[in-house]
Amino acid sequence: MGSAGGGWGARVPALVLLVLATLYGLAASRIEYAFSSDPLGPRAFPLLLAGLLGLLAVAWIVRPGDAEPWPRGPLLLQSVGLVALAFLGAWLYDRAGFLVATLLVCSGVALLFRARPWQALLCGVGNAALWWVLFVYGLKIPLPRGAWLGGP
Amino acid sequence: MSLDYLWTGFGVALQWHNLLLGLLGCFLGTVVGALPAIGPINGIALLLPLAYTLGVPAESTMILLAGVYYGAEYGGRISSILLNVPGDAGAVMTALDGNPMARQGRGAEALALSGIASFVGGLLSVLGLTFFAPLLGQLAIGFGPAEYFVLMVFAFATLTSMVGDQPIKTMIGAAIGLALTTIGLDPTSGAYRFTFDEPELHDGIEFIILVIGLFSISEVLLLLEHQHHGRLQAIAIGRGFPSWATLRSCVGSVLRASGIGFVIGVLPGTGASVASAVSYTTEKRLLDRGTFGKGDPRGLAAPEAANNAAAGGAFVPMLTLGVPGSGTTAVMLGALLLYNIQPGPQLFTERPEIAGGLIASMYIGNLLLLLMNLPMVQIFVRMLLLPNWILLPGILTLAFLGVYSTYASTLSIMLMLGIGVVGYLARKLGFDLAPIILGFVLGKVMETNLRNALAISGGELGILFESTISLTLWAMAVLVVVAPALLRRAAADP
Repeated sequence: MGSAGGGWGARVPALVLLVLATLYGLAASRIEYAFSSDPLGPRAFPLLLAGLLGLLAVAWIVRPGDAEPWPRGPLLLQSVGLVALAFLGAWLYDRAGFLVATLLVCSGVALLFRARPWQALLCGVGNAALWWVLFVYGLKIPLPRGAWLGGP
Repeated sequence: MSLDYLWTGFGVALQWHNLLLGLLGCFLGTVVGALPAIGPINGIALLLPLAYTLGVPAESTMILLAGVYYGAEYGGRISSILLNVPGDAGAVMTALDGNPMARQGRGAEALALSGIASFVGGLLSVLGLTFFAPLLGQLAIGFGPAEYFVLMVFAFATLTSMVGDQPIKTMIGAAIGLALTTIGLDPTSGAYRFTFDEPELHDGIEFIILVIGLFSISEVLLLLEHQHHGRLQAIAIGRGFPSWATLRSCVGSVLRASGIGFVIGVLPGTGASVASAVSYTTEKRLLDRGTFGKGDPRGLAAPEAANNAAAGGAFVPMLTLGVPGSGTTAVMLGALLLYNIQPGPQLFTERPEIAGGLIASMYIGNLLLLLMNLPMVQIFVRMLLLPNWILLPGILTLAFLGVYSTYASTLSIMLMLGIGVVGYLARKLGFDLAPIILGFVLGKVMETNLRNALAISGGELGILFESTISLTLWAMAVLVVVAPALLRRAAADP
């Protein structure tokens, strides 16, 4: 499974691309427009690309080529954790403000990259403070303050 | 041919704020080049939104970003030589002879020699750019929509045959990049395409979000996986400078490599990594007496001259034709488009402050880089061992800041993260990201020119095969796809 040229596992992404190309082509054929000043119109180029992508997806199914192995076990957990942490940070950006979101994301990511706890905390505080000072005072670009600092 | 644009350019590049931005770009470029974790595309992607939000004028932004680009080609050699880990894609070949030299206690000599080779390659390619770009520009004045469309086809053909060892995936990447540009309002017909009635999508996918997501976010995820390789050990560099005899022995290699690098840089889509690989192989074939790979100075000087020359060459088609010569210049083209500037032959006559300012700044920048990379190289050596836990949270913060300060919405940050995950999956599946960006920056122009061409001909496809220029471009497109396969077959036959 998953090895080059091997089982169907390696072909799943290519099948996904084939499905996406088909959906893209279908959506392209249904683009609505009243009038276009050129004979080709807005549908032709996407349809051309959909056809091309479809053909390439088939070629990819036939010859899957080389791919890196997927992460497993603890490494997979760490990767998922990093993505979840980043999304949480994005969600908190407006709500809790730049300082809180950055402190959280940076400390967490530092831990994932094997910092000691005190190093991670230092990294979070440092990044939050440094970029805040640079942006808000240096570059005069406002950043979200968060409700607890009484502002958007 | 007039070089007026260059004198205007020096007037722009010598203004103190542009000098400072150029210096900053070169410094940051050497840093991102030297650090194995980040390359020039990441450096440029993260700086672009800041410059744009701060209202830095287009020519100054280009001077800053270009400094990062060719600065990185200098910086990449440092980690190749001292850590045996290439700092960026263009420096892979540098490690082959650079690292053995360092192991033999000739680290300082290797750094100085490669710094000088970088400078010669960089300077020669800026000279080439100065004279060759206006010439190509004059040729491009005769281009109509049909010729531009075929030119793009040629660009993708070169990309497919030169980048990566999996051409199907290169083509898929380019096609996906092209398809992404069809999202949003179609200005010709007023139709909304693939927007699913979502107002956020009416303007299409924002370039900054796409680039930062694809490159920076996916890079952080990949580095998380690859960190188990253990701590890197840098070799002490010692003291020393290449002897006169060593320098003289490298002259031929450096000149050849500069030529090869420049030409490969000019070819659409192929940049420093291909250039340094080709020049190293050439030198090895010409000169190797069993010394290459064991610390031959010529094996170090050649790829370094080539990757710097390629960086300069890549600007030629980008500025004159609007077709980037490499992944990084594709991002810079995206930056110009962000400022509503469409490069092309008129750029040299109508906006000489941009084309000329950029080129003039590259003369100054290469001089600054020589200074930074010879006497001051120790500064960058110290940064090499910066652990990832310090570096990557900073990159992530900057990615968030870049997107937020440009679009002021957390939804944009989430879109960037989503794109980042997709970019990570694509890289794991063996995709190169540069074709996607190339497709994305060329998509609108390609479609518009195709539609304009057919509007002129009243729907006749024949117009795409009418002019001599179009036919030549078609022939070249076929040639670049077929030739490598034929060459391989010829090489396989005894």
